[in-house]
Amino acid sequence: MNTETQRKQLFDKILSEYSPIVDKVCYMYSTGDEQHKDLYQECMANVWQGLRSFRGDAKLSTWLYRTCINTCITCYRRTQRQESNVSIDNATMLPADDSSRSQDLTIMYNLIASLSPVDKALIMMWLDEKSYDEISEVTGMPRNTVASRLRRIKSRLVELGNS
Amino acid sequence: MDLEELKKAWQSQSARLDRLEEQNLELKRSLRRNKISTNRSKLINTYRVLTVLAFVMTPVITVSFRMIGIDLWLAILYAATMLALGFANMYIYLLIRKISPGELSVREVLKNVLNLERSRHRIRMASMTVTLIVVVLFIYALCDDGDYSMMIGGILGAVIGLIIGLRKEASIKATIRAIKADLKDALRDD
Repeated sequence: MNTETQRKQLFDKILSEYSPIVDKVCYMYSTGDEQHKDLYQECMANVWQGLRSFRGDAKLSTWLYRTCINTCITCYRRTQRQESNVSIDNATMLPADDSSRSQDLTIMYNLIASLSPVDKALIMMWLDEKSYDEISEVTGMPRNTVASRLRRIKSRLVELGNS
Repeated sequence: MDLEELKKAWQSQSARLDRLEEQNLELKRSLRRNKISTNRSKLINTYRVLTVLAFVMTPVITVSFRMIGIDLWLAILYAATMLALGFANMYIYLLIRKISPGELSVREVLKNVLNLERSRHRIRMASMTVTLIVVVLFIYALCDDGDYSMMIGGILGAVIGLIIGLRKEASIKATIRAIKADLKDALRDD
């Protein structure tokens, strides 16, 4: 249990250091700018509420991933059926330094967007260099399952990206 | 496509940070003033109110029905229906409280959400059926001396309500199917 002051401090830390994580997760589960904004607000509200009981057993970033992915997975369905076509405004998110890398990243975003919600969660955490144990903790899947599924997702992404 | 390269690019993304700053500031202010609540909190509050309302209405309805001269059996039937609705709402309230996004894994959340949606679906179907029967009985009891115009009006209203309810149920069923698919996907490869 956190006191109100600790909670505010933790929340400030999340906003200043970890908000890109929340942003990226919401980005991958949203189908447009408006939905992204709603998801981001819903995730942050859940984070703010959840901080009351955050005990620090898990890393802050792992706990954030869990909170945001769970929020997105339970929220996205409301608009999913209305907007089945994924449209990602890549231009606002991608680094502009290297055009070929930026193009690859654009392709990758679109490929990840086409994955199932659970596969999306797995690959996002892998991209952020989370360990298999952390991914297993967030998803609730056994470590071996995480490893084998990630192998399959990665080869599928490469295959799709090269085709 | 080199995945390791992309991993680095993914991690170095900060282009949107400046855009987030303004949004974060606004969020911080609103959250600290409790101006934003989560969908979960809204649902919890709704079911809390519905539960209390059903329990409070049980004795109120029984007494007021007796006061306007409705048969005892019908008053008891109404009270029992309200009581059952109260317990059903309390059950849903407890299920929603269990779904804590920061404490459960993705699999657990999917299992719990599926359980919640299934329960809501079953309870809604059961309460629609029971309410329909009770309303018809109530109107029947109110009709005196063969004047069934009130009953016909009541049945029409109930049928319209049923159609609206069933349409809503169809969309809930689609949500249940989607969650089931996600859960199946999450349990794959074990």
